[in-house]
Amino acid sequence: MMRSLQTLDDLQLRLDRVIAPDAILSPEEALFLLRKPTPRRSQPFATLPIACDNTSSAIPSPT
Amino acid sequence: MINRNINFTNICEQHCSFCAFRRDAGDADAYWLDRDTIITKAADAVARRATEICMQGGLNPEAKLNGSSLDYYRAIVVELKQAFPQLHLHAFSPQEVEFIAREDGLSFAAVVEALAEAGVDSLPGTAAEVLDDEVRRVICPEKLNAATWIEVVETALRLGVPTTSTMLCGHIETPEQQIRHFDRVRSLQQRAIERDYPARISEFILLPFIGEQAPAPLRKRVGRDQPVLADTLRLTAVARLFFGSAIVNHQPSWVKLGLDGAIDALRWGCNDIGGTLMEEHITSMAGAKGGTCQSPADLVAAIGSIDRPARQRTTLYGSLTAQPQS
Repeated sequence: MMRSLQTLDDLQLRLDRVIAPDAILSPEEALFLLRKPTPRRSQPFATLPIACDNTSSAIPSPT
Repeated sequence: MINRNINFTNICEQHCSFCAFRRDAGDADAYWLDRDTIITKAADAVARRATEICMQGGLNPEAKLNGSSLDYYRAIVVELKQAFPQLHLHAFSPQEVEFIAREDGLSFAAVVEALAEAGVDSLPGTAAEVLDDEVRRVICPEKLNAATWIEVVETALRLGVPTTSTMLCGHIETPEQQIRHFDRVRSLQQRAIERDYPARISEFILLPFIGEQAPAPLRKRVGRDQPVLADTLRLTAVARLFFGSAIVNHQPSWVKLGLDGAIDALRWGCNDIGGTLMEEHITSMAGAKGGTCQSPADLVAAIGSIDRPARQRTTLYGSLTAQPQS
């Protein structure tokens, strides 16, 4: 599995294909994926902060 | 899911370094909701077709009934359940269970059993932060330690009370500590399965750190105020693959990532968008930009924007036949 997961695109592809019950990673495999330098994917990530659709922009009073 | 958050007090004995919500009793903006206000909020939620109340609060040593913390918490639950027996009560974190047990000199099992008997249907798996005591000593030194969090959750599962699971990510923790956290949660779920406990961990939620209004030392150490979406998405994907069949439901936080970021997370392993919340205080007070509530229609539209089918669910991922409306 590790060889096929070189970029976030690959990781996304894997998720699209699998979402499989047997897709359990070992701690070593998971760490391998997290330690890799953040690769760029084909589309840029959204920029935060993100405008929100909801109508309540203020934090409501809890009381 | 249509739900409502009720944070019944911000008075808290602890001083976690990421928390902008807590107050000392006597602070000008300290609050402690009375039981009538809690019932009124729940009634409003029911009128808006909520199926769940998610209730958590600060650790307030004054919150006692007849000198007992457990009696205080139990009284809220009983009153809510008597008024709205159809509501799922998702309430009280492992930290609150530990607090009640400590205040009253009880075992965790006694507290969980009493809360469940009163009407608590499941526990939020919050207060996990990172299940690594080296991290906890920095960000939440007064909180229950990692082993105790696991013990409380395992006790709940053993007694038939489902929980969720969470991780506060993107602050001082290393990838090794993130994976150790994943491994501890997965091992816990696997024990529940192997030992045939009557309840399970229902979902995993990544909670990226928001620093904008967090206490200065941690904010300065982390060096940014908002989550890095790319990092959160990668961790989301790795979590989904890591948990595999052990935990199949994964939820992003639209409060922390914004609705667009949360929708993006549906492409990275999440299968759930979370609840409407109706009112969110804890993360919003830390400076989150995602908002404090969502309408069911907005959630459905956002899910549909990436051609995913939306389905309203119960807290424990059961189906609801009625489709969410505005």
